[in-house]
Amino acid sequence: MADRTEIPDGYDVLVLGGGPAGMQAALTARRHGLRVALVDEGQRPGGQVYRAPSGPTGDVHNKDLARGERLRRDIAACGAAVLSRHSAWAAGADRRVECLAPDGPVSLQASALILATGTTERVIPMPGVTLPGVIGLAAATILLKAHGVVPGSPAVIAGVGPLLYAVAAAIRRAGGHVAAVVDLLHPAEWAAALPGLASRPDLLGRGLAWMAGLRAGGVPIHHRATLAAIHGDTSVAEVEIAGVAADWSLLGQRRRTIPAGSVAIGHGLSPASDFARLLGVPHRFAADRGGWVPELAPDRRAAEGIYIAGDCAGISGAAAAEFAGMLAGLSAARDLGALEPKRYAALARPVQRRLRRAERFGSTISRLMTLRPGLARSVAPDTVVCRCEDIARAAIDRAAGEGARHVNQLKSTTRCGMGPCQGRSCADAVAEILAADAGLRREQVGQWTARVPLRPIPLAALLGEFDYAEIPRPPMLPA
Amino acid sequence: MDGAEFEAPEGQSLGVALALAGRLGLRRSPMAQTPRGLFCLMGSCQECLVHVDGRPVPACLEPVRAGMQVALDRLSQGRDG
Repeated sequence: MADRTEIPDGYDVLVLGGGPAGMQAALTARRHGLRVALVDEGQRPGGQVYRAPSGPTGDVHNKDLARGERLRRDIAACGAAVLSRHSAWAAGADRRVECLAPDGPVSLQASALILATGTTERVIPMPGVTLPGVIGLAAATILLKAHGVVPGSPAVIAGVGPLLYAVAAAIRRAGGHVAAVVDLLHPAEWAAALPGLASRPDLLGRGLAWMAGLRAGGVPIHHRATLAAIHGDTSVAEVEIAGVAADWSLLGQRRRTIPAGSVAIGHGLSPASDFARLLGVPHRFAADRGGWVPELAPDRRAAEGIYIAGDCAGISGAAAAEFAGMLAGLSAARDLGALEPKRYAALARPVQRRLRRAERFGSTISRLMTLRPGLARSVAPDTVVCRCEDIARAAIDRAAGEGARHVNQLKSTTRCGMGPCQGRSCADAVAEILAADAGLRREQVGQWTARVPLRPIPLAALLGEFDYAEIPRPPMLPA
Repeated sequence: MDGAEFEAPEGQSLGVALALAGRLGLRRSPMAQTPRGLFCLMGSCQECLVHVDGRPVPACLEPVRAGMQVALDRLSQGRDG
């Protein structure tokens, strides 16, 4: 096996995303002799769960960090080209990927493309959610784990899922003050999930310890509750906590206002499907897997030379993502002739088995976080839904009233989702609101057509290297 | 930063360094001109865009380097500076 780390004359496999799935896909493809490039936006591979600490800070006793360090060591030694700080912004069916790197544009092409782009955190907005000092729950874990920084005290942690308790416990461990945990779920709903969580007693035990620690520390935990509003002038000052019904619609009558120095909020994760959509991979809607998921063969193949692994194929968690990444790497090696079909079967079978086991835990968590319709229905008319373009719910209601029945129609009339984030931040909220307004099921309002550039890029990067005719154009969905 | 000296550890996320210095608001939204800052911390939401040496970049992903020129004021003026 070659030990060079740069292969200037081309790659067999491009892996997009350096999280658990992407790292394992790269390692596996490399192990079978393929020339591999791992393209990642971060400073170092790791993704979000296995994120590398920046500088000497960070919680070094963290298990996820130890796992990340191990994989980073393997990746550095395996001979794959690690292209960190490369923001991919376009991909074509010819498996050409355009990136923006610190030194300018980079164009890559390979025989196989493995998508491992992870997730986007979903936040259904409330008044004040755009205030500085309000961050995502996933962002709070990054702040604590990677940067060793505690969100401003007192912190209010709100939303759904195990991250609520992980973040609250980590803030307290780091010496910060948690004013309240505001959980959309009822304790009975957590209890009902226990059988599915028991497949990973280690993780279940860790979660129960977080909850017990918070209770022992006197942190108020509000169940079946949400943040009705966040107030502040230039940053967060206080929050209003209100109860919700079983479908998460806001019960407005009794509200409690408490001071807050920061808010961490998250309403679940959705698969980051923009590259798969751009490549024309068909999707289906699976609310309990986080939303729109690409249609895949069991070997992770989505189209000729295109493979998808990890949470971007449906939320299953980091452990499952590693096995899915290995499987994608094996399948790419098989299809590129680097692995005999027989040998492939022998190697893939145990990985598939371990993937299924890991998915049991991950999918139980994902099901718990399934978005319920009341949350978006309760968004007030003047609340900003599309953060980039400052578009409030009332504009979506108006467009629905004028006949919009698909999110693409909504986009062209309201500009929702046309800002720099390309709709990653508001896609779920917008689609839920439109579906509620139009009396349609969520899947009937569709998903936004992915448009290049998927990340904002300076015009010079486009004009310097490309002819407009060469920019890949995705197929239009029927409006 | 905006013509003044600003000290932070080399390699630290620029957005985190600014937040630690009490600078939570990094820009104003293009239409309503409401203050915005770090939100997703993973380069997805683009809320923390600042100009570094003339280039718009998400502050959360940008490492601090000696001598880098950071402009926040341009982004507070209008759509994208």
